[in-house]
Amino acid sequence: MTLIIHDMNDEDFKKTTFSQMENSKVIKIDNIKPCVGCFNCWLKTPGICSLDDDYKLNGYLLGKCDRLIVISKNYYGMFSPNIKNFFDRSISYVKPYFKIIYGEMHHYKKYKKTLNIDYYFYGDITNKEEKTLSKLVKANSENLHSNNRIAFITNWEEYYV
Amino acid sequence: MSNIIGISGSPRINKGSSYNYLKRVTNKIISSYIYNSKDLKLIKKSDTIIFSFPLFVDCLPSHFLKFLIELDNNKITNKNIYVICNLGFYEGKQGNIAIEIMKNWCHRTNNNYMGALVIGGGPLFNYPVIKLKPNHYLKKLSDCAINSKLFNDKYIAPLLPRCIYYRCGNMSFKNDIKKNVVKKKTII
Repeated sequence: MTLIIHDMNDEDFKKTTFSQMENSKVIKIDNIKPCVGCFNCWLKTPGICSLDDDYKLNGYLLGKCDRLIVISKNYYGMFSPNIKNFFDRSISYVKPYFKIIYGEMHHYKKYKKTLNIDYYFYGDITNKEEKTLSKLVKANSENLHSNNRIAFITNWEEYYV
Repeated sequence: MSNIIGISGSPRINKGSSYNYLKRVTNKIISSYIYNSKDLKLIKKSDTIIFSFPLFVDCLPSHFLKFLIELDNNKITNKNIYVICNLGFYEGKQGNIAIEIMKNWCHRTNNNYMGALVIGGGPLFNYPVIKLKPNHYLKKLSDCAINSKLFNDKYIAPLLPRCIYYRCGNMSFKNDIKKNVVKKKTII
């Protein structure tokens, strides 16, 4: 299954080719409560977030899909707040335990498979921010144990149906 | 002497390590998790802002980013910005992306980026001996903030061998899970 998460208007999203992908689940990230940093999704109720809303089982959702597509607006070389919140609340995708990988400390893998993540960033992006985004995506791939691809959308028409 | 204000970017408000590190630098502290229009006015009046936040998944916590966007919309400009970032991993270096994002923010909003301190092993803020190293650099940062001087970006690791840090971390995770959890079958 392909999971698509985005922060666009529903109307704009329907125009894009992403909306017509087969075997996909689309989530528009909206009304998401901010992560409170309690670590309950690691230590008390593993896999389940203690905040009660639609995004309670994010880690499990990532574990179930084989491909993740992230479409986010750029804010200072980072995701938009809602998309970032989705990642904050899916840390239960990995285990809490530390492991040293390539000389740096990271978390253990929880699921056997390797996730493929495609990141698409849109909006006004400066050269410096592009570099930061590339670094961020690389760091995410190390922490989420995933294969990554990154694209910057400057012309939306290429992505319209 | 500049008018300094500290902004804590931790969702734990006044319990977490971000707040504790900030407390060693300034007394005027605003939480970015709960704030009101009065706090925004205070920020407007100040000339120096010290941000202190934890690292969440390689960059800023989402509510803190929302707060930065709010500051951008309120036209907070020409302030001296210092950054304290703490993370659960041992190497402070892993916080460099968050610092780059803060630099980008300063660039977009016309604020002056003055320097950052990234503290690896952030949760150990209150341990004897270990806290001496961050305290030393926090004092330097606070001196720089008071005199509006540049602070060279510093990435520090705790005063503790890495193998001990990560073994102790793993052990405490294991104990917590044993205490709290639930049988294996119910784990998703």
